[in-house]
Amino acid sequence: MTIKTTYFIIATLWILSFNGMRDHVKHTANYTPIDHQLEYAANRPIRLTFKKTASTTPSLRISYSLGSTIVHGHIKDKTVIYEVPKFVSNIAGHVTWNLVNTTYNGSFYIKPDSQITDMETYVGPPSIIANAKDYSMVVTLPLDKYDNVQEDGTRVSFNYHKETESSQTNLQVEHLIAYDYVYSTKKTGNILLASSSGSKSSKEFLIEVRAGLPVDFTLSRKRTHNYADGNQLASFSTSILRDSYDNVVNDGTLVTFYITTSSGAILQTTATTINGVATGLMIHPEKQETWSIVGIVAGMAASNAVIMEFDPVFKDFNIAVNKEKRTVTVGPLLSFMKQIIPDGLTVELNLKGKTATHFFQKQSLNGQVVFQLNQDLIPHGIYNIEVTAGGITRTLENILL
Amino acid sequence: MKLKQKTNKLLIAALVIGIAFHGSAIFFTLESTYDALIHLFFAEHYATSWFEPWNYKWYTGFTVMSYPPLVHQCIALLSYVGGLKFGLFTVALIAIILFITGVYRFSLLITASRKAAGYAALLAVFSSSFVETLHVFGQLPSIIGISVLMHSLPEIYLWLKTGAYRYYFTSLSLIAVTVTSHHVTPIFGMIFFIFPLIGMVIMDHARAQVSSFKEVRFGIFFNSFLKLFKRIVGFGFSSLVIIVGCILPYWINTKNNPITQVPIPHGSRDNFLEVTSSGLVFFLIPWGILLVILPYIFFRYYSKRFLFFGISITILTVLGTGGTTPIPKIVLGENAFNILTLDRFTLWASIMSIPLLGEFAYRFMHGDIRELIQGKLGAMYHRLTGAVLAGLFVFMTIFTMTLGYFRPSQPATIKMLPIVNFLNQDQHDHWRYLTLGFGDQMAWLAAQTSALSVDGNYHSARRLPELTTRPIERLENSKFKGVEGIGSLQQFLTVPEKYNLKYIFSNDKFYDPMLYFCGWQRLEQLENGIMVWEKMNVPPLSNILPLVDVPQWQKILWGIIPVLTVIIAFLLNIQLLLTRMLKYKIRKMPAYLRNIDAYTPFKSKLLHTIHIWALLLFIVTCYGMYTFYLKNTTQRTPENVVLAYYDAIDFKEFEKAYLYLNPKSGLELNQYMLQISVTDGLLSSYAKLDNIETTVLKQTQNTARLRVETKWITPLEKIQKTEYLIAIKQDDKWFIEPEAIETDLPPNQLFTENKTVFYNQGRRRISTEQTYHEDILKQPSLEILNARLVENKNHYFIIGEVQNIDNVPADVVLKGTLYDENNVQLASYNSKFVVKHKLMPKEISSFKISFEGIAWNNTNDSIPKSFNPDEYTPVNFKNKPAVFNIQAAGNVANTDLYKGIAISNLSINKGLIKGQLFNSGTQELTVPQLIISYYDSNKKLVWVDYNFLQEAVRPQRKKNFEFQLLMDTQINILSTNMSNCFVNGLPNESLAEKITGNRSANTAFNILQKTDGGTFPFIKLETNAYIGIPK
Repeated sequence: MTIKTTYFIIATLWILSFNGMRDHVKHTANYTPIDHQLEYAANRPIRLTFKKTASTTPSLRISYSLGSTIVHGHIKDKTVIYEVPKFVSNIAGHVTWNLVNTTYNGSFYIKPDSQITDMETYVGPPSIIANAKDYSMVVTLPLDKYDNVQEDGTRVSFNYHKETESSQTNLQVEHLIAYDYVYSTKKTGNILLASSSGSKSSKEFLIEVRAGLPVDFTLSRKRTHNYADGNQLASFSTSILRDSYDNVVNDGTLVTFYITTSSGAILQTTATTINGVATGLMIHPEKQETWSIVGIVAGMAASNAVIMEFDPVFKDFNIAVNKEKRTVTVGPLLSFMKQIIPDGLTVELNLKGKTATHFFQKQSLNGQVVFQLNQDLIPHGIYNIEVTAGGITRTLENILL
Repeated sequence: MKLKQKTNKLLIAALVIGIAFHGSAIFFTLESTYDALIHLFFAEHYATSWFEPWNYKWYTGFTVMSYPPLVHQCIALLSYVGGLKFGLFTVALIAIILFITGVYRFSLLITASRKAAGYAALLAVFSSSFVETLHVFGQLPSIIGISVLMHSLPEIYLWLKTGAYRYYFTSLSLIAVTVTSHHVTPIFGMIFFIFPLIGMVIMDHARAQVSSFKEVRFGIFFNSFLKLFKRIVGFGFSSLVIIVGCILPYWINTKNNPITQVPIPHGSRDNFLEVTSSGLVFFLIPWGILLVILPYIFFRYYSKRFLFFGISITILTVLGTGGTTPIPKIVLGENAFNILTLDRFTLWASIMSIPLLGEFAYRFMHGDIRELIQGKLGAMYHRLTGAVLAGLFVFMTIFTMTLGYFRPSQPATIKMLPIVNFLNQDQHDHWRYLTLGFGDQMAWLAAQTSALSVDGNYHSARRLPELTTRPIERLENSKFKGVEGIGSLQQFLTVPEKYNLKYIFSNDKFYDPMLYFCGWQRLEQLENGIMVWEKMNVPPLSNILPLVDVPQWQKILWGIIPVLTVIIAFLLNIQLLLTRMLKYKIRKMPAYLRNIDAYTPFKSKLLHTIHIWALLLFIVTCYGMYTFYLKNTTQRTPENVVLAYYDAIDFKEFEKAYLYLNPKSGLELNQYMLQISVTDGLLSSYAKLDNIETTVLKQTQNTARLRVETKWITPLEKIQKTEYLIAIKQDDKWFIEPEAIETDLPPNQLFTENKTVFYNQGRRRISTEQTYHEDILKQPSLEILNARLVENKNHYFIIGEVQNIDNVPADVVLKGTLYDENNVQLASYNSKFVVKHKLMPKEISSFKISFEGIAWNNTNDSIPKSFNPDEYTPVNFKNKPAVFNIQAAGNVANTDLYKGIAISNLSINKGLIKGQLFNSGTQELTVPQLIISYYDSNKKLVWVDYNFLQEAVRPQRKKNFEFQLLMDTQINILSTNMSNCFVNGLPNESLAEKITGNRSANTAFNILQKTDGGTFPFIKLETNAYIGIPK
């Protein structure tokens, strides 16, 4: 590239830059607005007209609720007309305009269409607690066909229905929304609600009023017999669990039954309520016992203590030791009517030797338990045999095995 | 010299048989190989986004520039014609043709005999190493790479020998195709194939100066080397440029993302004598029949002309022995040894041997060997030997081919369509998913769906630290990877929101208890039997996902060059190819066929060596089979029968297990099967036998007493069990005495139970729009009753109690975060096993949040050898935690709400707690869990622990439990400040005040159990259970 060409390019660029600068010079020409209104309705076309003396036609910049846009005018008989596009003229709210590169500006307001076509309604939370303190909230936006929110002061009615009672609250749109608090009732149930404005209504909404915290309750008990056979089931039922307003608690509420045994052990069983009643099941103990049972809804409600006594199924049993076969046979184990005790009673065998103690546990079958003594684990020698079943312990001392 | 050539009928036969044999077999084998579906997945990537190397589907995104693209792009191109699988099989067919012709050309180069080369091609069709690589491993790029490399060898020879530029270009074009299909092949091919080839060219050049190879001395050799030096260097440098240039983005990617992963154990690095299965797969099968004629191969390759091939094959053979000898480790160095899979060396050694196998076959059937054997040992012997060799050869082929049938490496074929449909429906693909127990079929699923997974099947591309720091290939099969695998999986399951993981497709019920106790719930069983699990409270993926971008030129290079190399290679070689194939023009004899010396006569010494070698092999095989027999004869010794029994139990072959039980014990098969059918639980249904040690305590002629110590891996914890068994000998066979069974009988035959069920409509209106406002349920309110930060043996935990204070069942997610004194975040984790994830209204659960670090993140940490799924790596704290934060989230739950678990018959003696779990309801408690809370003398919670019961509890029945309570553990309480506890994003205190503000102070939360001493005077027991089959 020669130096000449370089100069030429620089000169051209310099001249061009003048051209660009000239655009920034303010118009000195006059633009007179013709028939400008300060308020329009959302469904009408808007056209801004200016009488002009200048030769140039500046663009019109419009700022509306959702943003800004540029409109180019067309000239008709010394006037310039700007057609405001529909996406601006349909949206309610304040609109400001100015002619680009001039000092001319102004504003107008677009009113929403007064014809309500939709009721946008929100409700939450969908469930509340029956205590006259908890509440939910409903919010409504009456809308015209362009999705414009109605003007402040538009009347909105909220209709409520619970069981047989209906009520209505009349409110107005304020700051674009109409809202109401829905306070819970003292009774559980569903509150149906809807809102309406003008001729339009929302769809049906539902707020569920659920029971509050349960209060103390009582316990009842049931069993087939009062013997400690380790087989039958004892059941404990709560009275109907209710909250402080006498509502039945929701189904599925968990109740834990704690059973304190005579030895101080805490047994437990759990149950969930159906129609307010929870029924816990517990297997009978295997030995003489006195149970004290309490039902608890954790940290909220508790029952009275119920006492349950269990008598032993038998007073004694036989132990037979077979040295050749190395077996210890316990039984027959007979229950309270002299029947064979149901299978599965736990029998424990404690073999106390000189050096070590061996412990075995087995379940009865046909009223009998046979312990087979493994030669490798229990070497030949003298042992004290201690058998525990049904809470009764029998000992055979110094048995050669 | 010009020669009118005839078509090589052996080659034609090889091609016809090869295509017919492999072409039909691939339809039954290829899809269940290890690699084929992975290549299919990559192909799908190119088919949908050819120029974009970033793939979002695996490992939260990875780049496909981590593997040479040619084969994948070819499949992708063909997939436009007939779908992905069409592409896969077509490319496999091309690979077969390339391999057979490649072997032929390579053999022709080495043996300089069209007959021998023809035999080599024919034998290559059935060679066990090729069959294994194609039909068992499915390594298509590797096969294509080595095949094209073999095609390039004659061209390289001709360039070096003649200096004609056309050969320079053809050889480079073929090298380019090799490198774009498989990167490792040309690099090692350079060393092990091309270097010896260069040596051979120099030898031939030197030979031309003198009248026989004997006269080639070092001086002459060196002279020839200098003469050829320019061409060698020219070729070497050009091929280096080709190797680097053609897949430049690959090298850039490798440099930018070096493989910093913990090496994954590979069978090819095992000691083959110790791990015989690896020895079989990575040594015996690839070598196959070649082992028998190994002396011949070495003898030939160590002749002067092939000297360098001799050295090369020696190195390959030794490297291929893996960890059997220490040599490979020393030669390659610790690092390379642990990254490379060494089976490829054996593959190359076997391929290098094929020409000589062909030559041997030719000489054995038509040449001097036949004459020698027939002359020395008789025609009968020759025929017999031939039959034995052929028989062995065929046996090896069939054996290799059917390996996948007898020992399936993959789970049964899964119908993917229901899963694909599930992911496409209802915006399920807005979350990531994970498959469990799919094997390599997960790649096929990934290819079919647009949904993203956290897992992946190309381990070099793993990016998440949870994966790269552990030697696991994928989460999918983590149960086979012991602690590393299950530990890694547990981290993903515990904190799934980290990766937006919401759905799990489980094809292996082994993982189910872990999913449950990590807080997942079953959604539905798809029609193909796959169980879908989901996790609540996981946010969907963001619309824009992060990617590691590469410059545009790399993308264009990557998309264009590989296919271009094929086109160029095709254009350059087409003329030669056509002349060779159609023989329309009399062609000059190639240089490597011109100066043929007669074979060195096959000496008796070599024959003897082969015989001795074969005898040795025979003895080793017999010995191997004998030891195999001794170890595997199930009822030969008491130990064997115990081993066989446990093996059968482990694989759920109960009828087989029954055969090992004493037939005179009176236990009927029906009775036994019935007993098995009612036994369930962690140990019998979810455990994998890890180790078994049998000790004979006492043995007489017909009786033995044994102590059996078994170790089981379960998804939740490791179980050790010691059992004493009696074995009885009858009719020379040992049997096991069956164990006593539980006899407990529930009182009622028919049992009725009322329960409340909950049903969530989900999307009420069938619409693809975002879920309607009114369809969304209120999040159940929870209350964190108490929480504290505690320290136990330098580990930090948040413990506490949470209650569902709402009226609907809640799924509970607890996220704990620790901060130091300056409020700098130290660690964040979710509660894992120690919380009841599902709470009924008003139910309480104790919880403990442990802070797991990413295990072995510090590479200096030693990875424990023993397996313990319960073990975890605590976070390494820089500062002492001082402040904690809990974010609790409740969501409406409607599954896993069973509460019919009672604790009865409880007693505590010297810290040993004994009791019974009684199942008071109608569902079977498959894996019961006890959560134990420890309290101080003020009845304040100080520690929470848990225990799993090994056996299931059937409805209306009881099961004993016993475990040791903690007696004198020192727990330091660091903070009891609960001001940073939040529920559903709201402050815990104010939310609780609103709902439970009127709790009466007198009402108890529970009744605590007194202990008999120790640091903790009170405990609380809570029950939870995984129900395997909810009814």
